Amino acid sequence: MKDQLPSPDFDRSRYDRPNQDWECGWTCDGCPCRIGPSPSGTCRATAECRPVLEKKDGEDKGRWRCTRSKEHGGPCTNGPLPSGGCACPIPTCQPRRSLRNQRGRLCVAVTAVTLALLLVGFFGPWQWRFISAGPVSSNHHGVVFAQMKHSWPGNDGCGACHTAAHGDLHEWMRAAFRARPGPLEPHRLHTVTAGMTELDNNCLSCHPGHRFHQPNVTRDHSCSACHREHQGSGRMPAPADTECISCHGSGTLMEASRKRGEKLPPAAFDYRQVAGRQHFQVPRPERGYTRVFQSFDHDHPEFQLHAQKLTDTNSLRFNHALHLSSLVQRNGQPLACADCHQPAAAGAHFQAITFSKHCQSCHALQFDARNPQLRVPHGDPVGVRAFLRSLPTQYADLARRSGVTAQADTEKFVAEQMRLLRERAFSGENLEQQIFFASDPSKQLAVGAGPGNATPRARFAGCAYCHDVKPGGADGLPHIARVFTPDRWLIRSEFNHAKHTIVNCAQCHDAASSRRTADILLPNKQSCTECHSPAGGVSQTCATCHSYHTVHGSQPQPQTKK
Amino acid sequence: MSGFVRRRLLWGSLLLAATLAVISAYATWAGATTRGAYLSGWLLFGLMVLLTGYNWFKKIPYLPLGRSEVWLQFHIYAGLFTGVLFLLHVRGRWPTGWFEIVLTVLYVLVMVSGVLGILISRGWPKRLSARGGEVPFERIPIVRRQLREQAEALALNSVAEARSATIAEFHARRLHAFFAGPQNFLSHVFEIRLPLNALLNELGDLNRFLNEQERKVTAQLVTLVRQKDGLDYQHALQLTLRLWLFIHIPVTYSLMLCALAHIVLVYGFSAGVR
Repeated sequence: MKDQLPSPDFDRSRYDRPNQDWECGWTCDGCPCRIGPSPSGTCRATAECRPVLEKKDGEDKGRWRCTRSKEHGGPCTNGPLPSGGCACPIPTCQPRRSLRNQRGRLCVAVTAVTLALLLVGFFGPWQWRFISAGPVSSNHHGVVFAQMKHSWPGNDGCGACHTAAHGDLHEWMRAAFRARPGPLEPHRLHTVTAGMTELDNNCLSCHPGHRFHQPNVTRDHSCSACHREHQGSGRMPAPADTECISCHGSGTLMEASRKRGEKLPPAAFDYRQVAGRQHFQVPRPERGYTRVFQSFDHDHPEFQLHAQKLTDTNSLRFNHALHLSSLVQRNGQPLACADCHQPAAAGAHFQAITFSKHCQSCHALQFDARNPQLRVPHGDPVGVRAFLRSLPTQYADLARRSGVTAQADTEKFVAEQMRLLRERAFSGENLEQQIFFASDPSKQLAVGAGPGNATPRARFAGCAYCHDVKPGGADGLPHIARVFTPDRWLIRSEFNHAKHTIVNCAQCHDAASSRRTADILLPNKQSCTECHSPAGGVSQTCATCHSYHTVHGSQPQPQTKK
Repeated sequence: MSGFVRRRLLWGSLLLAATLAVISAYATWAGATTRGAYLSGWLLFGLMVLLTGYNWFKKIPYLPLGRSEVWLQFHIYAGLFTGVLFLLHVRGRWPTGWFEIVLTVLYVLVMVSGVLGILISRGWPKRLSARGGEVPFERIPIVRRQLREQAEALALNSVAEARSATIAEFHARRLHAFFAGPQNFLSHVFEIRLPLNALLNELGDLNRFLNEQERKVTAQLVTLVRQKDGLDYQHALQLTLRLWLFIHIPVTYSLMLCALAHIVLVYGFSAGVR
């Protein structure tokens, strides 16, 4: 039907008041009375009119006249009753509420129901579950945590973190107004609050030492600013970069940190726990670690090892290029990185390199080519000297292990070997000097293969071939510099090799061309950003490599001045 | 450019500027302060108080608070702006706590009912005008009674005039209920004409059994049926134009109450923020 309907006829002069609370009960039947209900909702209808007594001159009784207005039909045909009452009574009705009034009542009802439900929710049997902002992460939901729960109020142990959970609504209000800034101080949200909050202190009661970041920080962060709890039942989400950038991206804060760091003694920055590990020590930069940056791939500083062109100070002479070339073979195959660098149990790092596990199989320290079973002991010059001075005994022992049982045959074997040794070294002192100080590989003491081992022995020129050996030690012994092979090079970050097994070692570590021990073979930042960048598609968040909390346990905490 | 378009452009531009400003400010300052959620929360709550106050401003017209028309425009666009603030406040994630879910559902109810209310307030008056037969909502029962009485009179008179009770029986069986009260509410809301066409078809079918005089009565009845259907259309749409406020306003009060409780909980259980 496309035609437009004409408006029906109705009395346009009449004025309705939809904002009144009550309307005539006959409205729904289409015939509301003209009087309408009272403001309190009672029917006021009586009759169509109130007749008037008219007396003409000389009349005693007079005549009742209908007063119904013309608007409502004019005087009725029957006229008033003889008693003066109206002959057209209006049937009474039950006035009903207007839509507006019904809406108002609904508002009151809904508000009351909401209030009731809130009270039930806040103080009912599911109180803590209702209040909780969400499931607690698995970090705070483990077995140990469950065992500790009984000591905290609240069904779900909310009181462990939230002091307000120790009390009722009154305590909640008190805690709310105790907060700084409080609920009536939203204008103070931009100001920095000194001191940690109650919530932070509750965190620190179980996580001591986690307040500390750097001695020269000028603004402590709340624990909950980075560690957002109640985000789900899984692991707690890693801190967002924005929290780190809030300081490291602020030139003002970094400058303040730099100035603060300048006033602190150098010892204040020597706070890292070694925990049995060998850390590669790097000097603190002049400006500290206060360079302003926004993201890893964009303007994160180059790793300090490369930025300051640091070198490995290890005294051990080691040539990676030689060991990875075809000149050095094991079971007929060139060496691979994994032959020496074997993952530790967790796979994140590698086992420490030791002589006995990683070097001895090739560098057997054989000094007598005719008797490769005899090897100079490793690790202590005193032991080497003792070994050399007991060579007759060593040869006799070798003869017995070789099956020579007769005393005469043993003595003959020992005498022969000692004679041949003297022809080569002229004296015992010379032999000791050769073993300690010789470093020329072309004048090796012994070449050959060990019994039952097809791998050719490496050339053993002397201790100085690998070590930094200098005369001047105690009792005429040489001084051999201590070998220091770090197992943690990047001490301000964490690198997990297990997560990078899909990458070939040589892609990051240029070991095949490194001939000097001083070469640090760690990749630079650009090598990392090939993957850890928006273009590379791999995460480049701060938490991927760094941890805010550099100290765990009972390290002394420098007091930060607000 | 009409005044309405100009007004819409002005308020729309203000909304866009406010949205861009708050998003860029959030992006800039979110990293610099740990109180981003508090700031967005207070801004959201303050705006919600103003929006809730719109219902009260109208009740105190003697105060110099500006024109209600301007307040309505502010209410609409500020209401849409709260959506931006709400998303920033909850960081775009669906809450996991029961109470926070209740808060979110209440907010969504208020927002959706408000948006629907605006849409129907803007669009349905055109539908009502296009259909015709406009009557003030309060007068609809009176007009309906008049139509009913006319239909009854036609049916009764046809018995005496045409000496046949066919129309009267049809009226008793089919038309009496149709004229008695509002009919086909949902069909009118969704602009479905099937019920009217079915009734008109029945009246058309009835014509085969009627004489010439009765057919004239039937034609008059068809006119009354169309008028009654138009009246029902007016009733359905005008009632809906009033009923959406039955969700929007009560739920708003509920939301404000829960928001107050939320503020107490946040401050009480976070013990402040640094």
